Amino acid sequence: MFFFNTLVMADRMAESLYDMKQSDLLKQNLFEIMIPFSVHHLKKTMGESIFSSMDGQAKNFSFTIYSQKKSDMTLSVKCEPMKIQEEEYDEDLIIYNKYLQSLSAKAALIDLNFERPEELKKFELSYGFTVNLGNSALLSAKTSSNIKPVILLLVRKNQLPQKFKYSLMKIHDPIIKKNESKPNI
Amino acid sequence: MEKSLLIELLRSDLKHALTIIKEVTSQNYSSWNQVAESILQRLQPNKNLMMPLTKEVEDLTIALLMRITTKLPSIRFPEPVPHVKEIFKRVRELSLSPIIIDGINEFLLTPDSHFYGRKVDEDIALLKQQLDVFQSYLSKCSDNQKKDVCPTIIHLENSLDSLEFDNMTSGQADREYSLCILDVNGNFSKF
Repeated sequence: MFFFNTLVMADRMAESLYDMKQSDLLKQNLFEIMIPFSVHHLKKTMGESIFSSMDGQAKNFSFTIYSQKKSDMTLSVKCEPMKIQEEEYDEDLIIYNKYLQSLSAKAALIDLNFERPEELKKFELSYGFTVNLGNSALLSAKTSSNIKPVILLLVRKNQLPQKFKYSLMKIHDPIIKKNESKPNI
Repeated sequence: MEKSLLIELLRSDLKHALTIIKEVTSQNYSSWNQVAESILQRLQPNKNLMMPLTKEVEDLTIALLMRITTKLPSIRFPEPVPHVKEIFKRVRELSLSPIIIDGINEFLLTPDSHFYGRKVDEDIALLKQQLDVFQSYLSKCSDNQKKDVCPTIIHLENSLDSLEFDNMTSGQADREYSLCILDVNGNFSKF
């Protein structure tokens, strides 16, 4: 049975969206499961420290991760009218549809205020913490040791891929190269 | 077909599309799909052909951008807009005013947030509501620390659904979302 405390950290839907088991996901860093195009794009548009620079304002952004679990063909069907760039773009779509998934996110900085300070260290949230909208400037002024700033991240699938030159990953990205070299079954 | 004639036909079609964009309401919204496809067909990749139509394309783009990104319910498109991203990607390649290109780029950065989410200031209000829901559940947990009364993901999702999608009709809302907590460096569980 799942309990609230675990679920807040990464809910069951995360397994499907991030294409990995919850236990594996909890060892990951969001920016390390993104493709390099996305990391570069986010840093360019949101700054080097993407979450650290948040000041209580929620931010919306899209990103693309490695994912081979495409259970339906919705994306490719929806992208069919996009035959604008002809062969070149088709090649991008092929790579995207085989190995990648674009996600939309809404992120907000919040403060986790643990009623029992010892739980901050363990983060075993069996009970007893409160959540408040955060502000990093205010946070630094707080003296209580049982407050921790964290990012609340709401994510869903994008219907269409972000516009990147995915075909380049076939040549330069080790993960895609490795997958491409596997024989077709 | 003679080039000048083709341009005039395209001009007429783009003006007609602009009228439709301005007049779309929840009652006649179904006409939008056809119009969008028709716009896509008429936005030629040939820049020389589109050059004399810059004003028409700009007017159309501005109207579309405004109706998608506005927060005013009376102006906002009643539903997510099919093909709009493709239309914007095409017009972005044309020589439009920089301010319009900036608007397009901003929209294309997080297009789905305009369909399924809200803008930043609305997000804060929404998050406050969501966190109030957390708070109320958590206070119950504090009062009664038996694990079997802790809310499950079902309870949480139901609460968030009602907050997140209350302005959408059923069928439009993509309920496949995930809620996680990360540290400020992006780690999923290292606190």
